[in-house]
Amino acid sequence: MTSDEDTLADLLIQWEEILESGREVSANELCHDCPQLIEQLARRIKALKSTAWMNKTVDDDGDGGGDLPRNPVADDPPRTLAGRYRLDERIAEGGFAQVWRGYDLELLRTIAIKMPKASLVGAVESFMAEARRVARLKHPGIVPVYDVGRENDSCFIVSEFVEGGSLAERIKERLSQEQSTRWIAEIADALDYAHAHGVVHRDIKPANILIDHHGRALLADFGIAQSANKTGQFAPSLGTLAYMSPEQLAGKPVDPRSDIYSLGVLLCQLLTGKLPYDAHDQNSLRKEIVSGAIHLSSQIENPELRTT
Amino acid sequence: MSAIGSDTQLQSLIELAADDDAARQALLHHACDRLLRLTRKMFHDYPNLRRWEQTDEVFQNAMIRLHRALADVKPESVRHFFNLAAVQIRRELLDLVKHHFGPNGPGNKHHTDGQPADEAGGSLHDETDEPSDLQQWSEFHGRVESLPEAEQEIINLIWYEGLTQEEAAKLLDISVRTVKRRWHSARMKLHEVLSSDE
Repeated sequence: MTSDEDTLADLLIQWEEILESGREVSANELCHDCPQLIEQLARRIKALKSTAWMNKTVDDDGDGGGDLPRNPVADDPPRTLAGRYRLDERIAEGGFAQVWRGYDLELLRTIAIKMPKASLVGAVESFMAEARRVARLKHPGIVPVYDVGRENDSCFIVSEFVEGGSLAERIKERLSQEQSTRWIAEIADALDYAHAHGVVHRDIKPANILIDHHGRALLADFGIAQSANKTGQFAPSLGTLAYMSPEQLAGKPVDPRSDIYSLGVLLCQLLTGKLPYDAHDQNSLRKEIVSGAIHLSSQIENPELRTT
Repeated sequence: MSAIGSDTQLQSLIELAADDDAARQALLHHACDRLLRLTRKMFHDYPNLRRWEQTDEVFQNAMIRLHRALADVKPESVRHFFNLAAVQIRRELLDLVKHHFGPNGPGNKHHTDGQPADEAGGSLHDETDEPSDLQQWSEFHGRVESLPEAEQEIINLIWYEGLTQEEAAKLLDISVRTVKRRWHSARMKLHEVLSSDE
């Protein structure tokens, strides 16, 4: 014997099948053999109509997929900060901040200005505290911080503007062994100094190594990632995944060794022309990093190195 | 495209042993893809937040946590993995809402198209229960958590994991008709609680 519940369930499936064929049928029509169920069926049909959105494929909602527009100027900062620092051109945008080329109207010099994205505005206090701490690091291999300031709900960090671009741009070229090892040595020296002063960088990658017009490597963004991470609002982006240490990826506490690991990955990349992993996608890369599956290439792809 | 887009692919995954590395990688990739798609959907009416989610470390953080949570699990079956993944995805979506509605969350300043939720004509006032702001999404995910096991599993597979009813039937080893009944039942229960909150 079929219960009312079974009958209602079957009628709902029938209602849906008719709807999918392009016709809508009422509870009255469906219940001609069981009029006592009309009211209940009508109520259930209404519930299914209200939740019909769950039948739709969850897709990109017509936004065209991954290439969403870049952040507008975070969110539209004023053109001059604190009445002194003029924003001239946005030169970089990372996961948590934008970097502008600017001009110091008091000292009449070009500067770099970094501003956290609006979604990290809640981290302003620790962002500034860390910037102050990093400002005390004095080393020729570390981009000096000149000033920090507040603007509305956000803040900004003023530092030296390094003209030569970043290692991320240079790495596309064939670099000599001498050049590669010299830059790594310079960065290692800067890291050693910072570690001795209790600061861990946490985001060693080509984009954070700037090359000045003398051809010297300087480390940028020192410690800022660390401060943001303390707030729980920041983790290294997938873009820097390749340089992350296993403990970083696993969410464990990190210390100076994590920076050394990242620098080692970079050294390997500079010398061999490729990363020390075999992975071809982010998921397998994460797995290789966590499992320590380093694959040091026996094939040196940099032709210059083959002869040395 | 979803990593699991056809019956054939799903069936081959089901047939593979749970410890098969390629199958696990495909499932993991699928879970990350679903988190991305569901996040985009949830932030659809928040163009500013959605842009941040795309490039922002908050979303990347969620993705890394999802990977961490799933990379080392030893699922008993593909079905077990899908349920674990759906729970993790839901948790990350709830965390994203919480982040944006926390004390300093930008969501507090960015309601739908700049309007307060009430003025934006929340969908609960219309004939659909589809959430139209982040608070309603939070409510939706929370309500799914409280569904009975069988209904929650159907929502997990079809809505969170994006399987077809036929794929869900194969995975659960039940008829498509039973899947339809549970899917209807789950939606009716959700409608009941979501509309009563109006």
